[in-house]
Amino acid sequence: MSLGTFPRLHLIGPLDAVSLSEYVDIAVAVSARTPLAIHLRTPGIGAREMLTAARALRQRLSKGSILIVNDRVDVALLAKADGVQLGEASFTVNDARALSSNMLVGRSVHDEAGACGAGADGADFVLAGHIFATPSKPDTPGRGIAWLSGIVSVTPIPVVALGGITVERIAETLTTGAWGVALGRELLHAASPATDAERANQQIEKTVKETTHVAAH
Amino acid sequence: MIPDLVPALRRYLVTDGRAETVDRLVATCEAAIAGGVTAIQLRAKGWTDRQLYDAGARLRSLTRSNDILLIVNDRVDITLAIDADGVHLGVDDLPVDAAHRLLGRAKVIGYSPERDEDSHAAELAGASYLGVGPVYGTSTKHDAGEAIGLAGLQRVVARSALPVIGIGGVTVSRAREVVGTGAVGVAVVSDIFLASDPEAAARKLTEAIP
Repeated sequence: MSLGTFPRLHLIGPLDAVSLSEYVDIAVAVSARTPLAIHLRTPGIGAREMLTAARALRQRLSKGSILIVNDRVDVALLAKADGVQLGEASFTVNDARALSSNMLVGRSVHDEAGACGAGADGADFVLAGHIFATPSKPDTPGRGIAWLSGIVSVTPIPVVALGGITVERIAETLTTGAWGVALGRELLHAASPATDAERANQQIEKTVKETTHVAAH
Repeated sequence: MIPDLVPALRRYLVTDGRAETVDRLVATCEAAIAGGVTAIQLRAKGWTDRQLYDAGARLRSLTRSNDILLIVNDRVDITLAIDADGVHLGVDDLPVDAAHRLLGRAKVIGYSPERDEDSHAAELAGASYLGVGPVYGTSTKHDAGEAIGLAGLQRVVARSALPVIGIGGVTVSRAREVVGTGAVGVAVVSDIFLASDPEAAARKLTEAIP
């Protein structure tokens, strides 16, 4: 996958925000309106159920959207996912790559050293967060926009910003040079996730266009 | 080269996340191998993937140089990454046929059935052996269900074309009665893994069921 087609909007779930089957339905509804990357992150759920959900997503996501499975390379391979997302306590990028040579490999990072290492290890992109306060991490304040700029400055690979990002904060987030944004609860708890995702994507496109325009001058 | 399966299933040690560190887990396995266990299943609930991978990679070289079967619980990806001999799956894990597709014919797939029909389906899907239990009440697995007893184990052994090992609350002193059902071996967890002297505990097991 070329960088040009790598989605700038990512959805992460179900976390513990919605049930797994609700998440599949939400992701399908969102992808029908807006191409995006759907991450399957299911802490505490057995691999059989995870595979069923991943296969349902693979089958039902609209063209232009991609599927990224968290941690389980075996589930990703069996579901023919487009990528795997690894944390700091997961497989290394190399180990994952050895099992899934044509999949995207994303790394979640929490500091500049991690972002630097992910690029050096050959990850295709990083998820960096959390940027703003989020109910997912009630005990830690957001790391902020300046922190995100630091992450972007140390790695050449796309940085997808995560954590507490609402549609209103997208412009500010992308001014750092971040490639895109990942939304979780912000979308999953919305009255209409598909509508909000569409708004988010419009905001992303508008900001990217403006930034590119400024850069051209 | 995978050790011949049936004899390798004779004295099957399952590791435990309570070992806390990779070093301790590997050292305990090393001691148990010296005492005569024939297979090791890497299982450590609550551990990170990275810890499992690190432990697995070290167990791989240890088991290979001692001709011991190495099986990974639940994770087909870790099985592939460390080139273990196989994977052990339960009803909530990846389906046997899916694991089979990723692992190919050369790897072993163990399966823990919960009902009679599970055993048969697993056999058709390509399982190589069954882990059946809990034979006795167990503190290791809280979700293991009611003990099936020796009679329950014997019933599964009689019906299954696959080799069966008894698991769940199996101690060194109970091993002989477990293989008396026709099971090819026993899976022991706490009684060796959490023993103060795992090598001595494994040696007693070897004496009980040579």
